[in-house]
Amino acid sequence: MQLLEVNQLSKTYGSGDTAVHALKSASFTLQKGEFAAIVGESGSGKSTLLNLIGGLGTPTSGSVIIDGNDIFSLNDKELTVFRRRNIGFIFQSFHLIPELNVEQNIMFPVLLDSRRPDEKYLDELLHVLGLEERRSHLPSQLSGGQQQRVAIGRALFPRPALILADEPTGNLDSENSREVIRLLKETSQKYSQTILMITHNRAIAQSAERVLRVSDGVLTDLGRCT
Amino acid sequence: MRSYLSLAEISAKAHRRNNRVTQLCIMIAVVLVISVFSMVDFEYMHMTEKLARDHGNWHIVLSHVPKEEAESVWNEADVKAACWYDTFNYRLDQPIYLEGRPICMIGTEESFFTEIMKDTLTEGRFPQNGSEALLNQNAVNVLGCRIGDTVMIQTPAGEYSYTVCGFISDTSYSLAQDALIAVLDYTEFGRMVRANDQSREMQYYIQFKKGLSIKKTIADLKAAHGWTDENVGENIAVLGIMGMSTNNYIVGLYGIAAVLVVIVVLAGVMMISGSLNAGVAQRTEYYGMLRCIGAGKNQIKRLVRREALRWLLLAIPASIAISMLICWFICAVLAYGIGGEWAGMPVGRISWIGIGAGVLVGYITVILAAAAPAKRAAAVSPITAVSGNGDGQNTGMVRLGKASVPITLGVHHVFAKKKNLILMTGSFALSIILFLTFSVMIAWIENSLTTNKSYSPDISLYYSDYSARLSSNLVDDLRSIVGVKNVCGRMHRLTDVENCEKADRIDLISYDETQFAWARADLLRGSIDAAANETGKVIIAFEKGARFELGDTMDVNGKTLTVAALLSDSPFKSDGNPTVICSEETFTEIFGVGNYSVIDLQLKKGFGNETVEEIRSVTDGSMILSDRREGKTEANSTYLAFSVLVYGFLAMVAMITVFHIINSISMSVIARHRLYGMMRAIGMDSDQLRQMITAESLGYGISGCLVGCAAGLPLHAWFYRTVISNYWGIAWQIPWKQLLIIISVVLCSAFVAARGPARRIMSMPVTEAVGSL
Repeated sequence: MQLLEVNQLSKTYGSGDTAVHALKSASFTLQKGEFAAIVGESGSGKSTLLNLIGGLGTPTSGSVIIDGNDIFSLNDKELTVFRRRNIGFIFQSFHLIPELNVEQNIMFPVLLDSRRPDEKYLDELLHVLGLEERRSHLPSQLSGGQQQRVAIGRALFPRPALILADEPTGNLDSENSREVIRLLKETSQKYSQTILMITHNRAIAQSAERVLRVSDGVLTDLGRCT
Repeated sequence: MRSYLSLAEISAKAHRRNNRVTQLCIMIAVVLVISVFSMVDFEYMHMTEKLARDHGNWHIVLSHVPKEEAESVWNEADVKAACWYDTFNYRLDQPIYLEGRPICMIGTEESFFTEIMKDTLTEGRFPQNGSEALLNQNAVNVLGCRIGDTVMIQTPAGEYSYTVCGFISDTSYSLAQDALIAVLDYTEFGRMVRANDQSREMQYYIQFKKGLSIKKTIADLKAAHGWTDENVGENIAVLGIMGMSTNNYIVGLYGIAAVLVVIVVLAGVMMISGSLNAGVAQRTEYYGMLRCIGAGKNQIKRLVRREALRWLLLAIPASIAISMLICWFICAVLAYGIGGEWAGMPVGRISWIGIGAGVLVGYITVILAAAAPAKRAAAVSPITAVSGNGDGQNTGMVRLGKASVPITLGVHHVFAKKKNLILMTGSFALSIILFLTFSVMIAWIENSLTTNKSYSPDISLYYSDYSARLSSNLVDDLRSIVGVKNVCGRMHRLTDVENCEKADRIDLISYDETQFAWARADLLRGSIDAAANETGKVIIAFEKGARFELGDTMDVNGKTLTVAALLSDSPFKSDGNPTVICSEETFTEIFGVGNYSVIDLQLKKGFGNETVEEIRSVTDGSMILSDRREGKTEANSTYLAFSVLVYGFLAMVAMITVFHIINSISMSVIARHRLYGMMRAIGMDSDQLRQMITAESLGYGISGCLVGCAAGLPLHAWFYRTVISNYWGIAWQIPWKQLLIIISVVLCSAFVAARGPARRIMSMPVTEAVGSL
């Protein structure tokens, strides 16, 4: 079942002589539960692509359809609510709320949606992420790997259909990186979530089900690795 | 954690130290509002009691109403007290005498002293029969009367003999008139008035019970009896303060409070908004991240507002305590320090109105102040979180020339963000404008409260017809009294003038050397010496719509007078004819009269009633000794209280300015702390960092001064011309002194403001300064 459809997506910064074509007519689709990696050099347009898919920016042309919804046809308010319910973000530098503890950070997006957090699911997630012992700790009291696991938890907790991860292992050592990717894969399978992840790490890219390469703004589907 | 809004509380607790400045801003705003309203409330309490004491605790007075009809009011309304009251020879212009001195007769009932004019009966009791009378305290001073003495009052209808049964206190009016007053039982008074063939006014003073709608009662009574405004007089002072009438004083007071509150709200909004804005600027990525994980714009706005309101909640108890202490201190200074008419200011009372106003205004201020930062936070794009360029706004290119790099960077930061520059400059300029505009009130106090002038007399001597019968020998006798500081005689004549287009009649008054010396303080143009030393040269006091100019001439009694000087003010109230001042030589040359009409005396410090008695002893019995000391003390206390208010307010503006500048710079640094951290990481040392921040801070200060002066000076000029020049003819000048003060305050604050934040940045580990969120 198709979850994400990217059609002729382009993004140009500036105009005239100074125009920078960050993304040129990118098109691809992802199925539900698929785990895909985006690779490419720095400045090739990977982050631009990911941000556009997440509705964090507006494209120069093209469309992004998630679960049948053309996200750029939504107004700002609708897009915010859509993002809150359907897309989970994981950042390279974690971006946790420093004053909230682990479990508060994880359930915060649900609170934003004025819903009661599912305590059972929270416990289960903390168990899967290996954070049970750390649930009352502040981010500053955690290691980088633990912080990224909290960020994964936060992205998973509202049960979004799509998880966008921008170099989630960029700030981690190889052991923690492996652990984070294992968790991402495991949880996405367990909860049937689609993951689109930017990475520079060849090994991690190879562990994905599918690899997309962006070079000078042009997207190439390298197909399935496995 | 039940709602996302709990983040506001958790975040505030975590950043308690960073939020202290904002909390302090809120506290200052709330303290100011509570203080202003409490002081108005305390003044209201004080004035209610004072007005009831001074003007009588009555609400309406019925005049020319038949006795039975007037007394029927008891059955028609909730009357607490009422009594008949009448006067005879109030103006002291009829042949009613006590030992050769004119006396005013009052007829009333005992309740007048127990309910209407409490505390007036200072000794003895109300007359119990027709043979007793109360006298005023002045009778003790002038005639040496005692309780039990028999006094004879002469009237055209014959002599009346009374036994003195007590004394009533003097008012500043009775002292200034040197009046004798006798109070008789109302029936006896009627007998005397009838015998003298005088018509009676028959005034019936009424005090209603509390909680009554007096306006409605008055209207009902008027309608029921067909009474007009002539029949029903209102105690405007007492009703006015109760809000039952229109009274300028209390309306003015509320007006001042309203203006002060608007200024405080403006300053508060400015300060709090500045703090919140800087907090938002510092946390751009934080809000971006919240947007990323699904927070809507309205949710972000609610979070920012919630944070601000939480600080308000925390600031309120301390604010109430501080403002009450401030108010009690001011009340104590007014009551015990200044005294006079402020002696009754309540100390140690709590003003619920003040507290309520403070909380309400605090809430409105915070909501207003949080609006812009909340909008700004909500406008943060979620992409700022993922891009990691939270404070990397495009600030244009800095040109590094030969000048010091840190200073060039600091100046660059001033002009980098136009919006920020406008906000900072505007807020600094606002302080300067406020200070300059309000400083005009100093000139107003100096000019309007004339009794404080050097020439204000303590005692004046004259005959009731102001005839020129006071000799220079008397002046010499008075000068020889120990305790007398100055004695000045004045000749006076209201006279026709010829060959003058600007007036037909003038009040010609002579001055001696001392008075000419005093006049120098009010000199607008010309030469006082010319008028003092040359005959035919005169001085004219300025009047609104001035007519006379230097060199104008007029003929009086065949002698030509030339205007040699113009004064901004004179001690004399003009009744339409210009006041012309000349030397004694000029006056005698015109009229040939050598005697004075009025002699003014000033007493030395520490000399009082005994000296006044000595002065009285050298006067003849028919001379009026007008004692103006009490009126002068009252005016002095008003002057002092107004000075406290004006200087206090100026100090408040200066304090807000200092605090606001320190706060703004601190916030500006916090907003750029990552940039500064990065600069430290690449090798900027503490001196360079301080230089850079100081350059930025002074840059804002200088631009604020320039705009503040450009806008404040025309406003000062306009206000000065409206309030001062129009009434006293003093031309506007650039207020160098005030400018110097406020510019120094701004620049010094800007200089000092840079030090704290620079130290904080230096003491912070580089990694923390450049760290995210």
